[in-house]
Amino acid sequence: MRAKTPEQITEDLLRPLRGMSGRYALGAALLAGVAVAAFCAFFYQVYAGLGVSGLRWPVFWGFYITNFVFWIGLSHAGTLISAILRLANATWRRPVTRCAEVITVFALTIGATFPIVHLGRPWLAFWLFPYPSERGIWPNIRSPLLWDFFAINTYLLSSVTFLLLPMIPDMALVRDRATGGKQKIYTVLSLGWRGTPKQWHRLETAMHIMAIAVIPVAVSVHSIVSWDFAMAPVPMWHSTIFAPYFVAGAIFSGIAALILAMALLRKFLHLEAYLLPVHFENLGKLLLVMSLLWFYFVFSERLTTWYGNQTGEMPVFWTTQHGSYAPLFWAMVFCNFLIPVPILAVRKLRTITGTAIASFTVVVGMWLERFLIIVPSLSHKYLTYSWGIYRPTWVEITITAGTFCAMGLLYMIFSKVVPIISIWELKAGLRQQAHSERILAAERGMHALNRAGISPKRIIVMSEEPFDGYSFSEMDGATPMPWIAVIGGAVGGTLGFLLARLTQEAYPYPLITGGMPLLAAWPTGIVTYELTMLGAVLATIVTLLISTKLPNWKPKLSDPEISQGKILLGVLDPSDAARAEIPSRLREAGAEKVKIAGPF
Amino acid sequence: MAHHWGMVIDLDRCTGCEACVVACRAENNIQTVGEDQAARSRAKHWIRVERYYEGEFPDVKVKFQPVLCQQCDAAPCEPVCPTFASYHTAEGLNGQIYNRCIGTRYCANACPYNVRFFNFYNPVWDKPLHLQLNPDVSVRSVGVMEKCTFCVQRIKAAEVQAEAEKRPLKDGEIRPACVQSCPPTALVFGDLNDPESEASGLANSRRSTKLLEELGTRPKVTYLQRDSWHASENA
Repeated sequence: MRAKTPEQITEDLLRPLRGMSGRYALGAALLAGVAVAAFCAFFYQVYAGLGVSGLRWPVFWGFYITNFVFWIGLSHAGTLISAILRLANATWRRPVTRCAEVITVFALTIGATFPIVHLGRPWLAFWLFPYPSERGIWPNIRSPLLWDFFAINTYLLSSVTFLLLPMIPDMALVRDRATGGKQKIYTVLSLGWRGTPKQWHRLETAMHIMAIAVIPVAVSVHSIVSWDFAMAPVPMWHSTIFAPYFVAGAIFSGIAALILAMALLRKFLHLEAYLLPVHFENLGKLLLVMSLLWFYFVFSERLTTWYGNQTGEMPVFWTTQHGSYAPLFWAMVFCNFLIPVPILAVRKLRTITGTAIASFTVVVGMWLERFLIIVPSLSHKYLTYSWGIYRPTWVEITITAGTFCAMGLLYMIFSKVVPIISIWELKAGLRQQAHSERILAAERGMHALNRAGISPKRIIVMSEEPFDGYSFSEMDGATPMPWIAVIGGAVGGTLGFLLARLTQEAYPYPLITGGMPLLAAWPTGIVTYELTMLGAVLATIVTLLISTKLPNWKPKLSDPEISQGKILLGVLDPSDAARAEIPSRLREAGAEKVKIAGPF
Repeated sequence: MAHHWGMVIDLDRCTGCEACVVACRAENNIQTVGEDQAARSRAKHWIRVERYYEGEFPDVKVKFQPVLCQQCDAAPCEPVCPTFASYHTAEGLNGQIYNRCIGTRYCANACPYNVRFFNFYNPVWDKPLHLQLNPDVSVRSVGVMEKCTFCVQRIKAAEVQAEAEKRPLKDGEIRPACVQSCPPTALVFGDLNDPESEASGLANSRRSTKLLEELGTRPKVTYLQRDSWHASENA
């Protein structure tokens, strides 16, 4: 295939933003219909009581918590994989990162609603917020659900930022090519991005910090989700293997979701030239590794339980091996291991279709896994007299189906509003050949301005993509942003510790639970950790916005032509002598156009 | 020293008559959920009598085991609650504050004894049953967990009475509904911090055992039961 020019890339990737087909509208309407039905089912449940679900004594968690774990797991597609690939500087990542990060944001949003959907009194969910309430008590720092609250919110903020930051330059690109109302909207969305070297540099530094911060946050989120189970003395829940098992499972299902999303995007948005077989090949290999790792964890868990032969655990074990949950268990093994491994291990089968099929079975299998972790254990707790069964009702099934449709719908809408492949990052990857003449001209122009004695403070550079290693791109290179992030982390961590300490020990009165100390070291560590990460992320965002003067919707100087690949090299408020001299110097250096604007 | 309430259940005396179950429902305003909901395992039994069978018919031995909240000192249900609805009182009870409960049902999952119950619907009482509601016990609304309180309303009432009369509580003065109604007096309630109380004495007997003690929950309900080891030792 012929290499695309930067202009073609912009054209191709902005095409989906222009209108929609009848097929798109029909698909969106169908998905929206199911999603609305799910909303109605939820409100019916709130109105009537949780009795309309299939939950019962002693299986108090069912489909909703399955979905919660499933969607949070799926959210590890994006941010985590994208961050790893960014840090590893894997060049093939460029077309993949954004469609992965979007999965994170939506899957996490959907997943985070389930703990509310499943509540007996969902209208009181805000009681998990640590605030000085009129009720005179604070949330319980020792509860894994509170760890969830902190971890998921930190993760949501990080991954939304991680998605939005690299979107800003692309929003500016759309802004410069749009007209009318659309232009106004994208002007707001782009925050007044101009593409100065300082902005580019700060953005890349911020992304680097975010990539480093988001990996431990993602790991902690799914560890904490696993601890929702592992903290309770329930047979086959109370296990030290759970945290890494869940994290591996989350990445596993996340990669599968990413491959599926990419295959669909490639087909429906005609991105054949961007999402290449090599991407599916590479992600397919990663999926293969995760499938093997998943089986390794399952094997370790099963072997240890079987060999340990503890009276409490064996009923749960056997019901999944050849009891009533065995069909689901073996279906899960098929979906997660026996089907995907041969497909992904044989090079000939590791095609786009092949990886998509394997990914589909993995997504199904991982949903089953979550269900099989929760329900068989709860229905077979110690006292045999209290064993029970669980069957979902139409309410739970509708809500579950609705979230899958909501995911599809959100994804469809997003791909119509934002270029689903990061245009500037893609171009930056292809830059060298395509732009060389303009870069050299800009470089010469810069030298010319320096020779003319223009103060560097007055020189303005703007470009559609980041450059490094040129004198025009290295202005304002140094930033204390990483250190500010560290300080932000320290402040956040201190606040987290104080929050735990003051709310549990001092105010308003200490409440004992489970014979634990009021300030239990390990749980306090979790909250301290999450707020450390939150502090670092917030400090990075604030530093980025302040140092790049964003948002700034009325920039003094900007030019839509930048978004056609040109590099703007300008002088602010030149003296009269300079004003006469500069244009000719710039032309000499190879400027395509010289404009005189202002006064401002 | 603060009271430390506990109960002793003599399995060798229990006849499985379920008088305790009925008394508990009447005392604590436990709603009868109806046939259909009971078939869906939504019945709320703060105390239940578990039946275990041994052998083949007709040579069957049956064992009755009343199970209620064990009021554990290291209760797994308490720390998992994000809103402190479930917490430990100064007198060692597992408190359940209905107004704080948001209905995560985490406590019910964490409880190894499955003695916590959820209000799947708003409770209703068929007339004239609404007239027999106990005014000392709050009625629980939809979406909250409930469980055995050791009849905390009776404990509080007795404590207030004793304080008014400026005297210490007498052993046996407080009797939860289940204890009060047990025909073979299989259930004994008392202060475990008082070495002279009947409950303390029985709890330290040779027949004593705790339910799922190996989980480390430190239950305050003690079961008394002959077993072959003690039987041979006694012989």
